[in-house]
Amino acid sequence: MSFIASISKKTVVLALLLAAGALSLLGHWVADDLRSLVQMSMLPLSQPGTGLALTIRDRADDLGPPSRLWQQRLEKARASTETLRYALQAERTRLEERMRIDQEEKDTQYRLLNAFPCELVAARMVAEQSLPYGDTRVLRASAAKPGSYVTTIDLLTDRAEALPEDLLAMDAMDTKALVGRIISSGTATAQLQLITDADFQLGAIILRDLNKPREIDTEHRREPLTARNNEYIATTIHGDGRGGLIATDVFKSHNVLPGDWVGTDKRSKFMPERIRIGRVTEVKPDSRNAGLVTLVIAPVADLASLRDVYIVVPVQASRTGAKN
Amino acid sequence: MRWFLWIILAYLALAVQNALGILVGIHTSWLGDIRPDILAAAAVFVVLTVRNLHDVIIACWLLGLGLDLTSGQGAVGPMALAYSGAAFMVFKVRDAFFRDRLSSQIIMTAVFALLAHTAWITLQLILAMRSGHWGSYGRLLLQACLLTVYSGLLAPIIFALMGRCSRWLIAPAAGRGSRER
Repeated sequence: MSFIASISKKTVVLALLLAAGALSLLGHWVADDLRSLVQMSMLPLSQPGTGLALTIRDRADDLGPPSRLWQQRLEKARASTETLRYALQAERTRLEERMRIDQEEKDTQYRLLNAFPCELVAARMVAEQSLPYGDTRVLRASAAKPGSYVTTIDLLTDRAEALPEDLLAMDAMDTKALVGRIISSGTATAQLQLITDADFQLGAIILRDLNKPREIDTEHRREPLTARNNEYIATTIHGDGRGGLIATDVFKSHNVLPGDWVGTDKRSKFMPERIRIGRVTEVKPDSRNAGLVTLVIAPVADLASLRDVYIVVPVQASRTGAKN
Repeated sequence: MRWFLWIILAYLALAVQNALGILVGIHTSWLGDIRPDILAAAAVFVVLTVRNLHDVIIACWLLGLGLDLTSGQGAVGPMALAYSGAAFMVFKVRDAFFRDRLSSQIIMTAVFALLAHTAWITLQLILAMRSGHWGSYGRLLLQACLLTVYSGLLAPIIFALMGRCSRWLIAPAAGRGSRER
């Protein structure tokens, strides 16, 4: 005890500064483990605090005038129609592709992910990050494998609420949208990197919307876009750190238009199925190459109100007990 | 300083900051999220209230480390260094300001947050050693500037709250000791 008492505050300050410097240089070797420990200790406060904040914000939105609430429901119903259209178009394209290249594939259904044997492990967002320079969230989930994709299921129309008959005619549809990827996990928590984070990168495909007529350059000539020649366009998407996504180095000849869909690439080990990521909102010319364009993509999932998500666990991995 | 109570306060402040970001954060499509750093106001309160420079640096180091550990990505440690450095600089000029003036609280919190966040962004980019990320340096600095303004505007509230519990956090100095510089 006398030794501890004899240590001067100046020595303590120097030791703390050196420790901070050492931790900085060690980087992610220790950062992930330390963060997991702290996140676990903060769960008793962060989980109810985040839940309360989200509830207050949602209630504040509901206090808007009835016309605005009505408009939101109308937009949700319209979005469900677009989703049905996307699923139908994807199905048409896949059937055409199978016929054209004479290849055996699995049957696709409108309900995505049925062809991919996996388990959806429910997880809840319990904390945001304390600094606004990245897009990550803390999930309450144990033993989630880093690299696992995370999705959300959106019920686009709520039939329990009173809606006019023309909107009731639309079927409610469960749809999945990609939210992000697990980057680290601990005993009780996991770190979710959102798709809009500046460090997020993913191989994806672009599905051009057949309802937007256009001409494309095929192997032999320029012709109108049809279900037969509407091939998936492989690209790489990056988060822009500002709530959106971008895809660079896309050939201008593909004639991608705002409204086209972006989904996951089936060649991914962790997600060998196509689920929605976002929609193209803007097509910008590439200043370095006249033959290329840059796409600005808005995510489909409502990341600002993210609460309950699902970690996609392949069936083989789920048997080892990767559960919440 | 009563360190045990200070650590508890830092723990509570971190939880509040995370939740507060959801409620009062402003999202912009061109810069991203703008959220206040209320721990900067807490740090400035300590800088203005505590007489001993070493106590100030240790207290701010703890706040910075807490931010590092709850920040999500990047190395752990840069914010602890940034908060310590900013605390040292603000401590040196604190005699030019009146602690009870709103303008002093706002300005000093904004300056503290600007110094700390600029240092943090720069250190993280250096440690990441990825040249592609320097392209977003300007945007991140602009985001930090707006964050500091937002933090400064909320500083008087934090000062008022911390003023009520300062007697539990800060032990009174024995006798009429002079300030240590």
